[in-house]
Amino acid sequence: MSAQKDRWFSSFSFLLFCASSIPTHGNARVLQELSPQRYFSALQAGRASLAYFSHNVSPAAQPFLEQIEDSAEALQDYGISVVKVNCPKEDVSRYCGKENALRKAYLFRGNMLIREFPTDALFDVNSIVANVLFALLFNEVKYVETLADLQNIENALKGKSNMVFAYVPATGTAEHRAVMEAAFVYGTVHQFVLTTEATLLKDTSSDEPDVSSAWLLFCHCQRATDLAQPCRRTAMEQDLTILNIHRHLKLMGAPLVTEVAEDPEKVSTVHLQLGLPLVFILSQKETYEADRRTAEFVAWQLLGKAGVALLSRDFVGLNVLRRSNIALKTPDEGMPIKYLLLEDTDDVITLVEDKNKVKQIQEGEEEEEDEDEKENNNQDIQDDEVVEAVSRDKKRELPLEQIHVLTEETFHSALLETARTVVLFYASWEAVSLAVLQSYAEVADHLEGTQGVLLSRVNCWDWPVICTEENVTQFPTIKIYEKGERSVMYNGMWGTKELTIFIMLSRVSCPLKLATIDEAERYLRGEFPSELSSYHHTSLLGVFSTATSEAREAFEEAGNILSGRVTMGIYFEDDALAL
Amino acid sequence: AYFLQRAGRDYVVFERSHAPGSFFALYPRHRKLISINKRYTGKSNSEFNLRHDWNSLLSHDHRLPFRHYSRDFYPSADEMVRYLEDFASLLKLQVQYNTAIIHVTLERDEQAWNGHYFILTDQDRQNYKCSCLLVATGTWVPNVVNFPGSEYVEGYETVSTNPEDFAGQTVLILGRGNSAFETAENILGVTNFIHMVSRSRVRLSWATHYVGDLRAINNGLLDNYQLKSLDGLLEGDLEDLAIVKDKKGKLHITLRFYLENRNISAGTDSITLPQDELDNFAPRAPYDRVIRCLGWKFDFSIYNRSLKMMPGKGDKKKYPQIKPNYESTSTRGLFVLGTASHSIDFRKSAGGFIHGFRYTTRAVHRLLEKRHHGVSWPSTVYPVTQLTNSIIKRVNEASGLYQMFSVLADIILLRENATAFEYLEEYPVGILAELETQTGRKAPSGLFVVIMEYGKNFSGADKDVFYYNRAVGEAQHAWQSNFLHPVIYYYKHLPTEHEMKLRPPDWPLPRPDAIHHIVEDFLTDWTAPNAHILPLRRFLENCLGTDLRNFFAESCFLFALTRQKLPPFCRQGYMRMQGLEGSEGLQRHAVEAGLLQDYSITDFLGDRPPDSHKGSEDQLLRDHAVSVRPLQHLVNAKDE
Repeated sequence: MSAQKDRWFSSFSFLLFCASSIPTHGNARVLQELSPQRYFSALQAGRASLAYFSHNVSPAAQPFLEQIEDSAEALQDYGISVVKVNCPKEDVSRYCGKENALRKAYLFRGNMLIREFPTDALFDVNSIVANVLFALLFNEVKYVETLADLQNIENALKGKSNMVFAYVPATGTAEHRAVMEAAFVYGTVHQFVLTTEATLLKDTSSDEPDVSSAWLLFCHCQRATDLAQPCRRTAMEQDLTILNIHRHLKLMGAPLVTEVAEDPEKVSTVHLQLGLPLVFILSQKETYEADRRTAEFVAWQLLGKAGVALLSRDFVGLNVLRRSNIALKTPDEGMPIKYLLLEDTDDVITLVEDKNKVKQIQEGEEEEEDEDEKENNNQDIQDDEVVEAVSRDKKRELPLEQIHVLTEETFHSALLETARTVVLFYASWEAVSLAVLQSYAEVADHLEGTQGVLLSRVNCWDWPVICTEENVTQFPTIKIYEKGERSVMYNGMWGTKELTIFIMLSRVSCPLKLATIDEAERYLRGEFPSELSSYHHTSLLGVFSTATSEAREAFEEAGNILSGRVTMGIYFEDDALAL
Repeated sequence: AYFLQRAGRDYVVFERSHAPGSFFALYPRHRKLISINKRYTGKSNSEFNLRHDWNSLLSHDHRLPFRHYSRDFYPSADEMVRYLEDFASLLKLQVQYNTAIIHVTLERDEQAWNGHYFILTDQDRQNYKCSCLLVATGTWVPNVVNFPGSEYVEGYETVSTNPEDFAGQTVLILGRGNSAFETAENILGVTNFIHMVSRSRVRLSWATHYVGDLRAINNGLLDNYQLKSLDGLLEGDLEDLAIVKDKKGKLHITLRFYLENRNISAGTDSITLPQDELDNFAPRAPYDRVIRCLGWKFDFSIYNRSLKMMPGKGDKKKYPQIKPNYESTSTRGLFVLGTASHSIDFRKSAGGFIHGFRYTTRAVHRLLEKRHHGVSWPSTVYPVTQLTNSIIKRVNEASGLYQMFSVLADIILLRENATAFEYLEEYPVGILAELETQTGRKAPSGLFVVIMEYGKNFSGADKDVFYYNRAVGEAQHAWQSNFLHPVIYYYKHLPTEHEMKLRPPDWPLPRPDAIHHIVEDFLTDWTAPNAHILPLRRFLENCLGTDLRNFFAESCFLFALTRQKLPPFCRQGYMRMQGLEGSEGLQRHAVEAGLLQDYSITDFLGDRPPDSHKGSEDQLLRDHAVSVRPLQHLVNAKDE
């Protein structure tokens, strides 16, 4: 920080040097006290002087005199002498004679009166300096009141020179003084425009500005080519002090993009000298044009905040070459240049604007990658237990010999061959299908040798037409076809046991017609039909008298629907009531 | 006509010739079609196989895939004619042959479907009246360029196809399309040399992914040009060209500019040839023949002015102007089908070719069924658990999506609460905004659009499509996929017409709320569980805020007891007694993967009904006993 300050001072002294190089009277005491005659005779052509005429010091004028004495030194820097003219009592000449004239200070250039100031406008050093310079720099600093005036000036300047537009809430303030002092130095280089109109400020800035504080915009009119567009503007973000203005103008005057063809460690630009970071955009011959455009774009964004330089890659160590596209040099002595890989220009801008982030970005880079990877890993990890289980099992070949493979060609003929055909519709890429296929294989194993049931499967990935025809909208689907007539869709658990029971129960017609009372009793004991005796299941017995055909039909219909889920017996012989 | 026939609609087809496919009876002149007839794909999936069958028309008839008609990979045009004849006769389509419509006009009538009837007049002054006119006349009028000396030019439609006729001759061909190269290919071996002139640079089909650009089968001349074997290509505007015949009958190329400046009275010899001023002018050698192969355009001449059939703009001037629903821009009820409808996707997709317009025609049929007969667009409703599956199924086998990439898309309309969805196949994305009126289906809670795309910056006439690393493999780089791959767009609301209009150029759809690219696949097989299905599932889950995983019955049981809300797979499966038990082997795998709690100490939980008091007590006790860690993933499920 101290180094930074040193630099500010060095540049300020440069300014002072400019100012004091204007020849001054070599008087030891800054405030001269002269008689009218001597004063007027001493006036030199082209020299400005501020004179205050007084007979004798009235107590009311005392504070003012103190201020004017203090300002003498400041004004001397600008080659303006401050003179207190002691009027002889009897003098009734123009300046000494009138009573009200004594309440004014007069500004002369040579012996021309330029302006007279009421003493209450010169209330302190700032106001004296500001007002005096304002009067003297009447041509260099334009005062505008309306937006139209401003635009006229701006348009006239386009392609010629740049404009410094300042807003101060009131004249005579410290900010006003700073602007005027800057104008004194830079007035010939840039056109200064001053306003105290708050409305103008509102018109020129996009968001709601704070009208109570001063504001300075640098308008790049010299580069402006399009007359219809307003000049690009760069607002000064610091307080309006002569130092800051000087620094700002200096930065605006620096080349937008510096081209560097030497070791970046040795590079020093205005920005670094002024305590701002310098961003290097690494470039190479092949992409020079594009890099240049990028650099300019970034430079406009960073104007006043950092410098931008285009650095040829030939001067960068090989190790950073591949990994970086940006280098950042901070003004602090001894800090090594940081090489970064940033993905877009916004990153560069945030990098500079939020200096704290620099460290984080650098240090965090590797961590971030790790984190990214971790996150991705998380995303990549299969968290579907079924899919994962099936894929872990994919190397094992399923024992599917028992299950017939049906195709679009064989499907319909196969259904006619056996009394009951169980068909599993599945998709060979789908995990649940494959899980069910495993259970299905186990079922096939259990039911090996069972007559009248054919277990088969259709891969819908190979045969989509048949699956669509059979109205298969979900994978997997199991249907049991009876001699190609009726089909029942299985909607129970996808488990070996359940499926086996379903298939076994489906083999028995539902409802099962019981011929004798004996059969009915065995049915109730679970001994009939015998092939089901080993399976745990729900059974129903419907007993109907021969007359109740309507109820019987309903029962039979229910049986059709419940086929496979329960067993239903039906007994409607004449001796039904005996049960 | 096939779709109308199946729907039982009243229609008739007028054909000028005595048989269908008269274009193919003459063209291509050298009889070799450049549409592939891939008879073997290693797959039996008939829908999938249509992706590699560019000649068949769509029908239910298993006798009518084109592969039964030809054994050649590039079949003969005669086989196509025979195929079309059989298609018309086997399916008993209503075709009236030998009827050339020479005039079409409108008759205003309030009663008519579209506020007017179409009156068609044939060559015998017979009038026909219809409510809806489908124009599938193709583009058959040869393009002609007029320049001084164009009378010496032979047309592709009449030029000799016998190579002997060109022996020892020097030939100039105008045009740079497939017909030009086909002509060149035929006579390449016998001519002195062939030069080819056209305005634009050659567009290679494999670089542009557009099947209408120059195909590799025809490009033998490019070899000769690049290997300096006398044949060559030139670029120049044909409008500036002029041809002069000298006394020996040789044809000289000159520029119109010179002809206009010459002295009218002077003879042929006085015409300035470019080589007089620039003695190394490229086409300075005289030619024996000049052949014009400039393609065809739509026949606009038969339409009454009131129909306002306007040619398209720019490149598309050979096609009539139509809207994205294939209806004429100015006449309601007039639809353009077939090759002539290619302005929708000219130089992009396959709408100008059989393997493309067979799908767009079906789409138009479905739109008309809705408009005039109140038959909604066919759709299927699935439970949400089948969402991932149905997308995977379609992107792996659907041929319409694959052939008409970026033009036709599958639409998934979500039902409320995202418990079910409705699946619409192959809808023209250009009219996505009008989906509800055009299909009669409602999109109350958002939709997915499944479409196939090439990488946006990959294809192009001057691009190198063989560069290293042209294909990406990792799912996280899927958005950079270059080759044809599925893309899923998610919209919370149906895009408005305004949004459709403002979509970025070359985008089939406006900016979605979310987008997912399934990474391109070398085999176009998008069924890999980790690279394809898992990222897709995550995308869908993120869009819907639900959990689309599959679970074994045990996990569902645990959820049922510990949570208020169950994942859809459990809710729609297990809770309806349709849980997935899984074989012991699979359960063991799942346990090993840390995804399933090990319950091996007990018997099957699935045996007991989920509300069994005893079972749940046991379960709770056990849950207290086990460490929670392995179940973290279940607890962290998304919908909580």
